[in-house]
Amino acid sequence: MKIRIMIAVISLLVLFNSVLAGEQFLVIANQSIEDNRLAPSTISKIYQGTKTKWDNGDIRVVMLRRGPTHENFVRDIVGSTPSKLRNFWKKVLFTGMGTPPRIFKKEADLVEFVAKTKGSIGYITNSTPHQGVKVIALK
Amino acid sequence: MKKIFGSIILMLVVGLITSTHGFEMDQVQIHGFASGGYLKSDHNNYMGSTEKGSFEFNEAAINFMAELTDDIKIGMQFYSYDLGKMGNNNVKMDRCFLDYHWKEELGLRVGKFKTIYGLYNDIRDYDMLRIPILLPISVYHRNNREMETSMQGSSIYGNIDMGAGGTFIYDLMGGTVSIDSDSGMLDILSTNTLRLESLVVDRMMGGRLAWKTPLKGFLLCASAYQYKMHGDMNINGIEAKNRTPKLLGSNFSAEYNYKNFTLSGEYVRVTGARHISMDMSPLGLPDTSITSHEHVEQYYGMISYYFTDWFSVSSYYSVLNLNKYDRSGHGQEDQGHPDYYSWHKNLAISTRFDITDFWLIKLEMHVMDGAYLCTLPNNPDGVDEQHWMLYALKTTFSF
Repeated sequence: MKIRIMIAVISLLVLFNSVLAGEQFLVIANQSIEDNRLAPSTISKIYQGTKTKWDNGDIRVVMLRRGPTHENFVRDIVGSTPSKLRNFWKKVLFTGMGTPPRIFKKEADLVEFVAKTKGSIGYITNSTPHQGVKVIALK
Repeated sequence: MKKIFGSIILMLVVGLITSTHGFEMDQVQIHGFASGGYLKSDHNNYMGSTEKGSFEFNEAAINFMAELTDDIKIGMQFYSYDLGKMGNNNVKMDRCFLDYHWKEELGLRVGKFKTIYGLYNDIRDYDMLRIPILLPISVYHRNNREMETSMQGSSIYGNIDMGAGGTFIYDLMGGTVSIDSDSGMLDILSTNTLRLESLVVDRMMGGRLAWKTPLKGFLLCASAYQYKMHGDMNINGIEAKNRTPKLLGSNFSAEYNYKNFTLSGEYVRVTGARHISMDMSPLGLPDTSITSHEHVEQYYGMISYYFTDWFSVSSYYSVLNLNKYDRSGHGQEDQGHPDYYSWHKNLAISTRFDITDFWLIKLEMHVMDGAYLCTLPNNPDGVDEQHWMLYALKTTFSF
């Protein structure tokens, strides 16, 4: 009985934690993206450079430079750390083995870029206005 | 003079733009970096006159990337370095290729591009992409740079998504390699009595298969390359030809990323036969030939930890054995050398401080055992200490 209660409590904590994490950021994409829902593992592959194309064209990765939303997204979805992810994309940039992301300091600029750039995907704090972009639900 | 002028222009361009965040037009990107450093050893000279202390430890590059279409891009990089007798700040086109990424599973590169090999071969020129100043020196020693970092030819590559089975990333390459006389490659293959004067890689082919496993952060790689080479030698004043029809390098590596930790390790074997034919006619003797067999073994284990965004440390233990069947160095003793000429082992501790996103400083210490990588040009009187220390300091700006 105690074990069942413990499992229930842990499950609730995990659920609560993921709800909290989900409230911290929104994944957004250009309207040209056909998908409305993406698995976190798929988004992780995009941000780690192993998925580079949508069915209808190239993926354009868009990132925030720093901040809590960036840190939460990198930790919870990408499964990495800001330092490691920054090094990975610098490697892509300097070796020429891929297309480096566009990085923004301001979320409003990021939203504007995603709205007008075909194939782009990014993330913002969930309270940031995001007219003109598609919100991607997490599977 | 021309070389110095070229280096100054490159350094100026890098320096002027370093304070910015790189230059980007809609489809063209320009980035670069400049590094300067200092090497000091208590005994023996390693990649320069390090016993006295050497500032001949710098590098700079500028690179351009243009996207012609969604699938096609071109890339170019100019690179210059000075490391003791190597490099001498000659500016060279290090990379120039056209990339057609047709599908996720298939892309094509043509031109001069980075050789994908092991875990870190593609970043060995980029100080800002790693914590150590010197990547594990058994596997990534600088003398082999020209042979291993880039090649001219063509390559196919792609990512194959296996769903729950992870992702396979493959790169297959074929072509040739240019080796300049100031590259250090000739030094590592020369001895007191034998001087390699030129080396031409007629053919190089191989590739790497990497598996991003279902265990998050765990990467496994296998790489193999085959070289066909020839060169000119001088043995005690006698001209000789060196022919290596098949030299095979194979590498097995693993990396595990967990939160702020990174653990990695690689094991490398280099095998092949080297045929040397000597023209003895000046002495009135018949031509003679020698065949020697390579059984080089290299490996290391490394741990890295990112304490904060601006401070990280790493440590590795690395081993290089000239002959894996003679790890005690009896072969060197038979030739009248100390046994420690046949290996190079080191324990390294590195610290990295990111002052800003574009400027970093590193400090590093190496506890060395052995002398295989202490080349003859840097140590003309021989290497008299088996156990020695090397200290390194380096700072890098990138944009």
